[in-house]
Amino acid sequence: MSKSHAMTMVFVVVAVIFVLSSVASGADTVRLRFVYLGSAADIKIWKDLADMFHEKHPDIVVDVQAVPATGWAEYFDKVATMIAGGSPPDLARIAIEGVQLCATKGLMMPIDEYIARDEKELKEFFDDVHPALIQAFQYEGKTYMLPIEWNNMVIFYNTKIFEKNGVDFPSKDWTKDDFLEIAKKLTQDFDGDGTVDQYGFEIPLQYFAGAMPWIFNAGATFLTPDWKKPLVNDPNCVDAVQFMRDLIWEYKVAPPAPATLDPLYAHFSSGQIAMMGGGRWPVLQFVNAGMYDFDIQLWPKWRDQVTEFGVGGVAIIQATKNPDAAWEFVKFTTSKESMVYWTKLGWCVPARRSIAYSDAMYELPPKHAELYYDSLDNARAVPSPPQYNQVENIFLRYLGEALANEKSPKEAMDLCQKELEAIMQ
Amino acid sequence: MLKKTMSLLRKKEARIAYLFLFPTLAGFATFVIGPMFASIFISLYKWDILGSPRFIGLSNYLHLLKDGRLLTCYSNTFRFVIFAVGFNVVSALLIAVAINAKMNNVLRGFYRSAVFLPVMLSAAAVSVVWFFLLDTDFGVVNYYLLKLGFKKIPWLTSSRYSLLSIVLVDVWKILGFNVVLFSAGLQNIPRHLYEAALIDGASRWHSFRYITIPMLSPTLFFAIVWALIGAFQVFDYPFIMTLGGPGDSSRTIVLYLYEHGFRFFSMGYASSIALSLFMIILLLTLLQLRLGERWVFYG
Repeated sequence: MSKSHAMTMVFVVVAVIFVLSSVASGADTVRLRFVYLGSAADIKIWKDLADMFHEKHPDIVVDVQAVPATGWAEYFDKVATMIAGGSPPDLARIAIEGVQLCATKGLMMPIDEYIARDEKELKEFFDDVHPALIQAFQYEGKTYMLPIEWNNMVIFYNTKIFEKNGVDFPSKDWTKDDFLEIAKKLTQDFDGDGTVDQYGFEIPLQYFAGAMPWIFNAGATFLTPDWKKPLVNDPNCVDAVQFMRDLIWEYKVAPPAPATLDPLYAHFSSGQIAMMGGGRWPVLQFVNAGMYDFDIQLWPKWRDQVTEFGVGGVAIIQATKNPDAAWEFVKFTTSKESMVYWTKLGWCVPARRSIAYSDAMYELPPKHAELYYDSLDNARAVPSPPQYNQVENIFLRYLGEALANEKSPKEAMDLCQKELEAIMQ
Repeated sequence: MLKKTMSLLRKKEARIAYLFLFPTLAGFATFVIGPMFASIFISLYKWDILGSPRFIGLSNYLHLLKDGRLLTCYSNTFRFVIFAVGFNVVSALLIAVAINAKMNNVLRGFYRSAVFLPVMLSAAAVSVVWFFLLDTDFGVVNYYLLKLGFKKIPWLTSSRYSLLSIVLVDVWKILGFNVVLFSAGLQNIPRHLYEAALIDGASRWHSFRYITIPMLSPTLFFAIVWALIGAFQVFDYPFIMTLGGPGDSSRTIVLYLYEHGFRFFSMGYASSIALSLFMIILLLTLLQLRLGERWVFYG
């Protein structure tokens, strides 16, 4: 036998052993691929959840894969590309913004049959979760996910700045005018050089986390309640945009609106702004930055006082070959054990009432964490039609011009309405 | 006899050479040539990645002609290209000449490395840092502008400045590459040309205009062509710093293309935009090659 033949033999033997071993282990282990929109910051949470799950189900391994993206639309596109490319994930974390978009594209598997099958087991979960969260994942008579984590928009305020200036902490029934008064008081120029060193508030150029709470509380709904038609030039909606614009240009209590959320976290945790809007996710950001002196209050009352919320869950991807195993993981993410784990880290608000009011929520600020779940009785989901990816893009384009004081709020919203009507026929 | 062995040897060498080239060629074919041709086909379809593509002929191209925002994005891109390439080449030339002046070698090395440093950073990282530096109220840039008695500039949050900010960041990042390129070119200019000019009584400006520029013209030409191609594809800075806003004021053509392909699931339309950009870059490059014959001096 020549040398090269010997080498070939070695390769063949290795290959055969490799194939046999993978068949052997494949016989009783199911590998699931889970993707989520995220960064290095929350990969630990998902990896730990996968490990906890594996301990309970030694025959199922969940591989966690972060998909970095700037927003939900881009993330869905990447997931769609994986599916089109022939390597679909089995599970994906999806938020309400993507439910109708993904459902109409046939990305997600409806889970009604599984829910019916495990009705008894899930009863305790459904009893523990606010109906608003469950309804958010139903579309055209089908259920696509079970709610796990959610966020609603509340006002974060820097308790130290309030105390230093002798300003009382806001109460639940504060109004838009109270808010404005406080913001004016807390906008200060320390060194007298004619420029502001501390602003009362800051508005990011954002859909969920920027404009929508003002629009809702101004008495507008942005889209019709069924999310089929736009209503952005409704006088109340224009009023809301006008107010946001005025905070920056008229009252000068907020800096120009940044295009992303990052400046907000940086400014708030370094005391350059006294108040900002957010859900529970900024808690993780602030704690990482060493910022603990904050609390929350409901969004100030205007014509209305509703809370805007968004909710997330784990969807089974339609193309999966292992839906049963995937369903087991979905059920695990609804368990108390899994929610307690990440609630303590300050990630989101847990879907379960029993945990949202438990000690796990109070290991970190805010002190009044019960406000999150309390507010759900008067809550409205972030408008998320099937064309969400385009709606968000169009709205932010015009809102940006209004907040930059380059178009009047009325003109901007009229144009926005026209463009939205064209895509939402 | 000798001749035949030579050619055998050469054949063998050629085979080995192709073997070595294979991975690169395969990669190039798969990831560059393949997608390029694919995008020509895709541009004739309506395709949302998940569903099956639907043939629609030239509809995407007809839509291009009617798309008002496309025009805005192209106009932004052209303005970006003119300012970015202009600033870039002129300032790189000045800096290169300054560094090339009589100076001790350690200092020269320091300046060269300093100016080259940003070239090695990723554009995304650069954008994130500048995003904070250019913050209107809390950014370092405006802090010093105020100290110097100027007014604060809303760099990224106003239509007037958003594109300019992107130009500045791009110039800051790319400049060093051209400085190094020009320095190398400058060193190749024979000293005796300057000495002869000096004896003939030429001023420094004249030496620069009639010796440096012509002798450097091949390098300049390369730098301009290269910078132009890169500038047309600008994406990272607006994507991270302004997201194209406010309004469409800093939306470049590649950002617009990206949004259609990867946000709105319109792969066909995105491909047709890509091809329009390809044609424009191709035409401009050919035009430059043609014009270059007139002013580039290959001594």
